[in-house]
Amino acid sequence: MSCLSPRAAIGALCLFPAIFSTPLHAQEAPDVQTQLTQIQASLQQMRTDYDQRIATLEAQVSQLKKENTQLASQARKPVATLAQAPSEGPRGSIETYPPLPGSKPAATDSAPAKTLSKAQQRVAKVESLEDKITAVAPPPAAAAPTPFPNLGGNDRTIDLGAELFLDAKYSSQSQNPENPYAGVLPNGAEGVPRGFSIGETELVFKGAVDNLFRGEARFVLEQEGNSTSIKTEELFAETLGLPGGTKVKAGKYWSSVGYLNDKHPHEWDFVDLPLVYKQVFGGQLNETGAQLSWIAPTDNMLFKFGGEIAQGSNGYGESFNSNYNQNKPRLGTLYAKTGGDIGDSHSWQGGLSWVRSTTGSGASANQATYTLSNTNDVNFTGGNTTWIADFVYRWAPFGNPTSQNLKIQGEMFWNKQSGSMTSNYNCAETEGQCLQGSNFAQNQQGFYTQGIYQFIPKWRAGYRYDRVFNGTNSFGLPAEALAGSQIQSGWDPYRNTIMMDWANSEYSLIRLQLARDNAFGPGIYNNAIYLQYIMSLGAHGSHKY
Amino acid sequence: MKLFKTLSALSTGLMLSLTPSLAHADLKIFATVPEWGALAETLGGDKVKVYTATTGMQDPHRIQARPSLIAKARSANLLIATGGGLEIGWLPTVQREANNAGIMPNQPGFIEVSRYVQMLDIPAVVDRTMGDVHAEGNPHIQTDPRNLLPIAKAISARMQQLDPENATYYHTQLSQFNQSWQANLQRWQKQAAPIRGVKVWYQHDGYPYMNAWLGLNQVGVLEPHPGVEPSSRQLADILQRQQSVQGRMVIAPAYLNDAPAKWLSEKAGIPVVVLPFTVGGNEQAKTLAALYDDTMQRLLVALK
Repeated sequence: MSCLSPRAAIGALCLFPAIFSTPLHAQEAPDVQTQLTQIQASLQQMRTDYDQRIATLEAQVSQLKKENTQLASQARKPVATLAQAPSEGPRGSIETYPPLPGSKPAATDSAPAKTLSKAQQRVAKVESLEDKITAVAPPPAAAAPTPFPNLGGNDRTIDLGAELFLDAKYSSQSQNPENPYAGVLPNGAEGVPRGFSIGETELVFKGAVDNLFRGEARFVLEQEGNSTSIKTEELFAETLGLPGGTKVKAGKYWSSVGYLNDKHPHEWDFVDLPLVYKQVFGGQLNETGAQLSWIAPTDNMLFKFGGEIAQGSNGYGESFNSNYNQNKPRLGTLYAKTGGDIGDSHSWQGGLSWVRSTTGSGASANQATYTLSNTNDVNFTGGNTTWIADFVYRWAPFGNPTSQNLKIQGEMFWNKQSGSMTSNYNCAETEGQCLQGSNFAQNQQGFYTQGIYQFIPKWRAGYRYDRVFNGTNSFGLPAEALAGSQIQSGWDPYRNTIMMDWANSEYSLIRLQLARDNAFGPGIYNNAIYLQYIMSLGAHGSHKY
Repeated sequence: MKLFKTLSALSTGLMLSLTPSLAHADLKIFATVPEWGALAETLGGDKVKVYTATTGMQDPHRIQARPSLIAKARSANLLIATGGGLEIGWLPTVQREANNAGIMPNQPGFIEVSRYVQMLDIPAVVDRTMGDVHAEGNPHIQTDPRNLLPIAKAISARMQQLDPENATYYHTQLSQFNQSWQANLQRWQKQAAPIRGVKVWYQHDGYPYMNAWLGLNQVGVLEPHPGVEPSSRQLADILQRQQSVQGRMVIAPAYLNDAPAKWLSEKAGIPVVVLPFTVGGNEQAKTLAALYDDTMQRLLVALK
């Protein structure tokens, strides 16, 4: 291509021997010289070739243009005679009009029509020849680079990618999903309502702010009873230019702990979250704070480490006392992820995460409150620690997931809360917190494991088993205080879920899901059927692993 | 804060333990598809270390942003992509997750080679009802070997910019490539004479550049929309059309399931040609030149 841009050829090739005329480079000089002559020769030849071709084509074009003008003038003649006939009056200006219907020289009418169409053909031929000439021209040099990174949308001047995810469901369940789960503490996330409902309709704006920062905002329209509410799901800025494999992200975002935690509802493989996410995080851990992550400079395997500091609330979920308007952030996380490939067809990722939050103590203590029954609460002061181990394995034949692929994933949670409590249990209404103790301790665990198999293009089927373990607890309350409450010791609910979905394209999906669980208490089974669609509009998504 | 201390101690420790592995590095190149990986190896010789993210058997539209890709992108000095929307489903995630400032868009370490050639099939209007149509034009630019000349020049320029110490070396490599490629192009030009004007069916609309190169006459495409498999009714319609247009062969890329092409081949009695599409697309297409040699051979054999 050096022949097509003489500047580079001459600039680079000519200058090198001139500059490096030292004995060290003397050997290279003849080589470059011969190359130079060769290139110049081929350049010359190409130039002549092109000149000849262009000359021929231009000759043809001018010839055809000439013929065309002749034909066009012939075609116009009858019109001109028509105009000349009525020599007086305003009709004199009719010259350029086509022949009027029923006008005198009817005999001549059809002939010029023919020549006209012939002329049009000629014009088309000329135009196509002109196209050929432009097609012969060399491809243009590099398009001018856009001024800023473009990670969001197709608009290269504003770089604001917008996406809209629509999610609607129909569900039929044998239990009321608004009832609290038993044996699960805390219980923040709502179930899918019965009947028709809209799920999370997500509106995303994202893009590069400038060469150093990128921003993303996600707003969610959620059905709440008969009305809808708007929530800020994520709103953060992150760095693009930090050295050494580091990145800082700050704002409100889904924590990177675990595997499923930072996946948006439209990326889930099932209609709902595993029970253990509801148990430990009351949904997903979504916090306002800052995150630092670092990727080790390794060759084949990924080693990623990160940590977050967030304002936090002790029970993690939104239903607990938040730490809003306090100087001291009370939630921290650390996580490590590793992963790699096994051959072309297999890949995997594993992670270990740690989440810790405290209520603080003394005057600034920010107690977490759990409901025992309609009138009784237990308030908790202390710390809340969670460990998560996660694993994902994917198979795709030759690494091509288009027609078939398999994904197996699982996560295990260990959650521990310990500290002291106060409660209004058995108090006369005016006396307040009459029960106090220093022995609030709760150990819960939970896991889920699931497999999703795409057996033919567009169709996937999946199975999930999940279970939570209420563990060993001591709340400083008499056993009867716990009866009928969420904190029923010794109840370990489980759930079986199967699903099948069909994706017409990357942008649409329809899913059927069947589930049976006993999360509402011993012997109370919830049989559920869900039908869901997820549609996405806007910028082309680019999904995480 | 205690958490801060733990965090910074942890990361400092890890950085210190792993920094030495950075020192010896050549120019590390991350190529999204095999053709640019092979080209980068030719142009960079022993001064570069090339990693190719996909194989010839993978659909470059649909790749998962696997952990290994992020690890490779983390340390890459130069990321070579086709662009034109080809890698839009996974590359932005890899770039964003890799924490590598050097390979972000509009940095010297990121090059989209489709910007250096004349794009074909740029749609006047594009919307999602048309399937996986790329607004920037058809991204399968590697099916015309003439495109490799401006692309090689652009890639070599980036190598020289990122690794100025070896600039002369890269320049020599480029000149050698240009010379040998010009010779190849002339040879193929001669070989292609019988193919010119031959009517062909395609399973996937991925060959406008090859049509432009070899003068093949594309009579139709089996996929109703790019990336969507044809139904049996649509195939029956195509067989109907074949009666009048008389295509001489049906061409499928190696990475796709060629069942629709085989069906048409059987019903219409015309040969099916599975082309390698990229380096490593079949046993023979092991190098760049072999890719086009093999393509040419397969087309010529089908014509007999």
